[in-house]
Amino acid sequence: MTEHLDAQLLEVDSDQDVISRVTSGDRDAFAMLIGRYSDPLYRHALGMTGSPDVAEDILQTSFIKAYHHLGEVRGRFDAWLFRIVANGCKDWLKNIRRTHLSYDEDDQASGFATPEEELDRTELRQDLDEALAQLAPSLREAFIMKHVEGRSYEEMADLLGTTVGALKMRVHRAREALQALLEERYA
Amino acid sequence: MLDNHEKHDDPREIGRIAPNGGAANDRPIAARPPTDREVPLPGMAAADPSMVAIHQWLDGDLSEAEARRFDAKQVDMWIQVAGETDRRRRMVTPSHLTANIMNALPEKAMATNTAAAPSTSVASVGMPMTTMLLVGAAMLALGIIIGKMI
Repeated sequence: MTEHLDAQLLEVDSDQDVISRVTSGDRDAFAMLIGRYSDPLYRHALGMTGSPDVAEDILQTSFIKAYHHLGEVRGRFDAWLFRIVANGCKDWLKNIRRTHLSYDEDDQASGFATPEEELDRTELRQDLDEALAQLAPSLREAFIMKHVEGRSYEEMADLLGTTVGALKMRVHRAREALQALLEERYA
Repeated sequence: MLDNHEKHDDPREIGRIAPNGGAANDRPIAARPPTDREVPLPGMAAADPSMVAIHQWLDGDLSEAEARRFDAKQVDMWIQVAGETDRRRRMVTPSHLTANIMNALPEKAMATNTAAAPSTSVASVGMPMTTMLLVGAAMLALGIIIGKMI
């Protein structure tokens, strides 16, 4: 536990060191921050929007915004950056009437043995996307953070600035809504 | 189910906590958005022991075998969903994205003291020393000629 906390502190210090370098004029050091945080943020944006292209756009805009406001970071950089991306996703969802759904760019190797299983997987993927798109953004956000990003409730509460109880309720409501939407076909 | 989303472009709002986040908890329960009320949905989880068991299992508080005793079909469905969410957890940022972001950043580094006093050195003017000498000599010769004419 102590080692974990120490590692977290080192991580925070490390971010601050990089930020100091960037604000002192070392523009290229910013690539380190991108490399450190882009994957989980990309997964979050992809889960929220359902579109790889939109997720990329949100991430790019968010990192550029972060670069221009780097001198304003107070506290944890990763939490600050997460909120920029999360707000970007919510703004996009607010402006979009119909969620564009596409995971066609997935190039992960398939773990399924037969074409039938592959077809089932594709169908489940589409059905899950459609079901997620029907959730309120705050419920979708909670479900994605818990089940796709694999975060603990405590970590989610820290990042979103709310309580563990409220987040459990959001995740539970999201599960219940998803179950209602998916059970006819999959249960 | 409606969320109070606001525009996040204001520089003062960068990285702020969303409206349905922390600040919402300071308000009375009745005034909070529905998503922040820690109450079960009407007629759902609280009254459905199988759903409670599913939540406990998915939150790691119950074993799969115990959850199956309540509703094996739902457990199977959530195992399929977990397979898909696990796949998404392995997704990574497209390789070109970092380069795109770096290319989109302004060329000049964001130094905080860029408003320094303008330099008067020759190098900063961008004119070689020999050119400066030639110009100086030409101006001196011109001055002598004008002086003689007067």
